[in-house]
Amino acid sequence: MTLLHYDFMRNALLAALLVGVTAPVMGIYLVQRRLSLIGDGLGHVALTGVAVGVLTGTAPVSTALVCTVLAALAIELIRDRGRANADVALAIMFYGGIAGGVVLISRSSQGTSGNLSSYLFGSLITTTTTDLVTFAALAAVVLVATTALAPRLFAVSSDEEFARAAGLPVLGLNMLLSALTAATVVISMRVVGLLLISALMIVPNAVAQLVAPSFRIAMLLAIGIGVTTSTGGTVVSFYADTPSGATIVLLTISLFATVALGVGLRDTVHTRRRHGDDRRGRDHLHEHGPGCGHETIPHGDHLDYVHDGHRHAVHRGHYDDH
Amino acid sequence: MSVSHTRPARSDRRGQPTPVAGPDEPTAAAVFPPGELADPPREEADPPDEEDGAAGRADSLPGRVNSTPEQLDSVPGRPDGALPTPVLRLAGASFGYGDRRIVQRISLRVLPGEVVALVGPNGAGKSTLLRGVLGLARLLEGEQFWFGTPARAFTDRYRVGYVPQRYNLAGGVPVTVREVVASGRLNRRRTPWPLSPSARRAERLAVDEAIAATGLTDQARTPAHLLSGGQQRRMLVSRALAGGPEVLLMDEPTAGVDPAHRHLLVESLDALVSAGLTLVVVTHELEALDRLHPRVVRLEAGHLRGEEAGR
Repeated sequence: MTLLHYDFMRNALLAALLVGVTAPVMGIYLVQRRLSLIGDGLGHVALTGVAVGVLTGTAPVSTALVCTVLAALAIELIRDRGRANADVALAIMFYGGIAGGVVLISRSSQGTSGNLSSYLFGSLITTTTTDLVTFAALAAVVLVATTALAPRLFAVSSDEEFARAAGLPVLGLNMLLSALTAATVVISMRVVGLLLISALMIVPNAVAQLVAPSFRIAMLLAIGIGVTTSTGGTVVSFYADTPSGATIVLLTISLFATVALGVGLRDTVHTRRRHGDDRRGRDHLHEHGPGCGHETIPHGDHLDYVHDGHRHAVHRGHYDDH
Repeated sequence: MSVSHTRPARSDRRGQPTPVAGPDEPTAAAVFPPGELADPPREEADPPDEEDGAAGRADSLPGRVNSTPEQLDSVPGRPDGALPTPVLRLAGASFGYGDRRIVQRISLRVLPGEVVALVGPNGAGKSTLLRGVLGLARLLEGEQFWFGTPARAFTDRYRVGYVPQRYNLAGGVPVTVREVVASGRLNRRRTPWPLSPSARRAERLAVDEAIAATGLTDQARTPAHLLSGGQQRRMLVSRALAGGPEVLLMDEPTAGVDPAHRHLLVESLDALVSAGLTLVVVTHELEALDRLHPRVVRLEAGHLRGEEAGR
């Protein structure tokens, strides 16, 4: 492949691979906590960090990391205090982040709109080897921490009150999740861009939710989708000469639309098959119940009614074949 | 005023498990032998608790409410005047949120093997009391002890199981019954993951047993959001059982559950109580718990108003 002859493309593809793995891993916990937009907000705050780096001549990746992790920890502390206006406080922090970033970058000698755009929407040519090393280290931290603590992160994301009652360190785990999300935002800042990273955290999980039967499979599926669309989008971006982040996100959303359509069609066909032809449809006008004349067979916590060679069980207003 | 009755001692029923739901649904007593449910084994009669202060004086009924702490500490007629260490003891405890007191100056004692039903009108503070003893609402005054240890210093959280009123379906990622129940095992772990094969096996077995105890074995791989309300409630009981608790605290376990599933749930609980589990249940539907013979503790406007034992 010709694109691998270019150093910048090799770096971009490796960075895309790291984002593709880490973003869905963090995203599944954000989705489970109903905090899907936190990644978006942290991306806003990261822009201020980038701007500080640009203005002071420091590596923007480092300043973005510091700024975003601090914001992530502040978010959890604000949430933990449970103030009624916590979401307003967070919104102010996020707006302040992006506004501060834009103003600071405009004051810098390197502050061009093209420069800003590459941070916001991703660019293929900006990932340096130094960046790549930092991203790899951050990705290793994210993956080791999420793997080691997966059961606890699952518990605290799924039912925070139960986790608290069980004596788990809920605030500590939430702060860790938040800080790891911040690290993932930083990993994404070159290829996907700060305004779009949230999409790569959330949309692969949205696709996985449509088809996965369990949390574990949903996570594995989301990682597969994340890696495929991030690297695939990077390749498309190279040939189509489009911003990489936006291309990756459009590819992921296209996949979501396709799978959602497929699942919708499958469910429609399944429902029609389940309810059978007209003859069986007429039969279902009969309402099963005690003394209805059909043989009953206990099945777990309910009764199946033997009906025309099938075992029917009441389920949400219709009968399932068991 | 308190009404005193002698309720059947739950310990009398140990070793005589009631079938749970049918031949394919093992009883809780079968899957949780008394020794496991009561692990670590309780002492029959503890010396007076140091922190109890007046423990050991024989002038009142155990678990009696609206009594001073001094009145709460012994059993008339017991020659040694000693009691088993209460699973839970509250002495003048007030709970609330922020500085706002919702339940006030509660003195209550729950003994091993008891079934206690907390009843009262909406807004009486039942759920706050339950949440308070779990550490989900603030203890604003008074004292609380788990198994004789001040709640602040109590670290064996696996001994206390919590069954919330509803399963929080969270963000919609599919989660199987088994995954939910396994999360109840976490406070038993000393390492993030069970490291040895035997530890992994023991963990799997404990989760399987907790699922079987509520008759959900056939649904173990079913996504939780596809379960009925009654099945979800039983799943939450299983999650609480996975850590091998000695006491279950339940918030409205039968609310919104259809009669068939309610029957299954209460049967499961009956088998668990027969195996030695202690239950504290907040409920509006006392009649649903009749077969558990609960000691009824009534709250009104944040205060205990009396109790009756052994319905």
